[in-house]
Amino acid sequence: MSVGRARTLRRGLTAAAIALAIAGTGLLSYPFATDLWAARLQRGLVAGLSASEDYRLGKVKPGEALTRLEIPELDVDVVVVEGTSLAALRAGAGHYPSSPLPGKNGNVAIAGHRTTYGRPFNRLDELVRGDKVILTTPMGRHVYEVTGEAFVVEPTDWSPINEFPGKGSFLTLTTCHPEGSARYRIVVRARLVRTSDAVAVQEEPAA
Amino acid sequence: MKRRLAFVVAVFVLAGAALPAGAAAPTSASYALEGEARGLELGLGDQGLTLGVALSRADSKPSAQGVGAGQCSILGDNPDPEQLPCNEATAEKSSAPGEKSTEGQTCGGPQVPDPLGSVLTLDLACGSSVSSIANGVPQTSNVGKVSEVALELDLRGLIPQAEDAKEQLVDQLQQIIGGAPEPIKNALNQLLDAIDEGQGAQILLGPATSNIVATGNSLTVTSRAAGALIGVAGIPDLDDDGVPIPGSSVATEDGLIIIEVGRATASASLDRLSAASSSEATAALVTVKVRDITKVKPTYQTISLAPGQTTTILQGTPAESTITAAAASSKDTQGSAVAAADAVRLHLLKGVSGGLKLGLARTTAAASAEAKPLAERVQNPPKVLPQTGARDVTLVGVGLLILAGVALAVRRRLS
Repeated sequence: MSVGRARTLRRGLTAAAIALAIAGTGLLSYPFATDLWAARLQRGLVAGLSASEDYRLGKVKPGEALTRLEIPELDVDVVVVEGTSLAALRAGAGHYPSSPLPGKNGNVAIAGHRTTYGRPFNRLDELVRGDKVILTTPMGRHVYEVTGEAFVVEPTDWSPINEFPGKGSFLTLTTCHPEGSARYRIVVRARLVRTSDAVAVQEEPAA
Repeated sequence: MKRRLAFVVAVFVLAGAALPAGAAAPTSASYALEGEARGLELGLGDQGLTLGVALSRADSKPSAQGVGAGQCSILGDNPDPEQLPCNEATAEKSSAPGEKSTEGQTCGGPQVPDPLGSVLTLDLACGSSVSSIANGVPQTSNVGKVSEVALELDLRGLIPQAEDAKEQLVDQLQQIIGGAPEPIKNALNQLLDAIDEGQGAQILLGPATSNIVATGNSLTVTSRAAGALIGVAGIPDLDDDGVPIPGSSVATEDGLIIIEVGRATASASLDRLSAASSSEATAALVTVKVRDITKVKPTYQTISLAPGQTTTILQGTPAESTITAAAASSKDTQGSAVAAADAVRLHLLKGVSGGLKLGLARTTAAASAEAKPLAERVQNPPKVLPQTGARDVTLVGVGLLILAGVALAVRRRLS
């Protein structure tokens, strides 16, 4: 091999090694980067929760804070934004715009990330009947109780959002399944068991 | 430098391919389907019952709705599934989204008000209904059934009338079974002595079903009534002394008249993308058998009825019965398909309290669809639940780092 050709090859290998290292590092750090991004968004969202007038009038815009969601069993404490677009869900969890507001009759539906953006619903499948899910809004604190084990549906199956068993107030939490894949969705159902008046919601969430 | 840049870009493009990507597919046309099957409509005097009812509805909202009921009162045309006058202990309803059938099948003892209840014995009546929406496509499956109906008609009222019309009855039976008048007359006398010990009427009824099922892009509503076997004026066995043995009669096996009603089906299909639709219907075939009463072992003369044909047997006698075989029809037009198999109509034993009126195996199925403009279909991919999980790229990242290490090792060896 000539000296010139060997030099070219070495340069090529150096460039390839650098590019591969950058790409590999980027991929490895992607979940952590999204977590940092979500944490930054969450800090900004807490203040938005106090805008009770917008909430009462149903004028919360996509991407704005809607409710605080706590799941004590899973150590989840996150501010849920309005909307479930990719942009809105960068905050970690989003409220399905077609579903009612927390505490209202019907099926309140919330989607959350499982492996990125703070991973608020990472352990959603561990919830069991009787576990509490608390939604705190400017209008009140709503305690829901999980009604059964998590179940898996096709990503195009909207029945968990559109269907609910009879009258009352229900909560449906959805996230991707299995972990690290968007092939299916896993769903947890809960039923409203208690509502109390508005409380302070500005304290920064843990997540 | 350009080559390096191209290489880096290529690596990022490859890595990007490993990340989740959305999918797009055309949405469906707007459509609606409905089907209905009724096993048996029974009328005695002013009272009436419908036994074995199945209804199905679905549309492109999407929604699905169904009812399966064992026992209902008389239903009009196009009954509202929400307000069916059915015995709740024998009925199951389901809808999606909305109410889900939880028990699968509900069975109960029928409740028939007197005076019909005093002569009618019904087996357990059952209904089942399941509706769902899977991948945005509605489906529903419904069954209503009562396996056996026994009618304890007071056939004693038949005897004096039959005595009066004996000559006519002998003539009629002679025409059908082709026997000599004298043996028929003797057998008829024996039959009239025994007939009040026999079973008035018995109906073995198959289930009524109505389903909406998806196969690929096609949705099909199928309504089916499984037919029935009807025995009228059961003739009991005689002991060695020629005395009728009470309770030895099973009208569907030894009746003076036995009517077999076959399965009726109506179905309609549509294509969810193109909105093309089609339908077909098959009416129930009817066979009427009249027993040769001169023979001890049940032996029958058979009369087959063509679709739509009407026949009256034992005319002018108290046992006069009219049977009308059902006709089937289907009509397909642009965006609409309708199929129907009419009920087989029977008016039996007209001489006994006005007779027994039956309507059997009525089924309908209809589908209508309207295609959305192609542009609209392409612009509206199917709604997918929010994507909240990225593909796990940890292994890809580790793999790329290993490849980087390998490239550096090779480079060192070349130095």
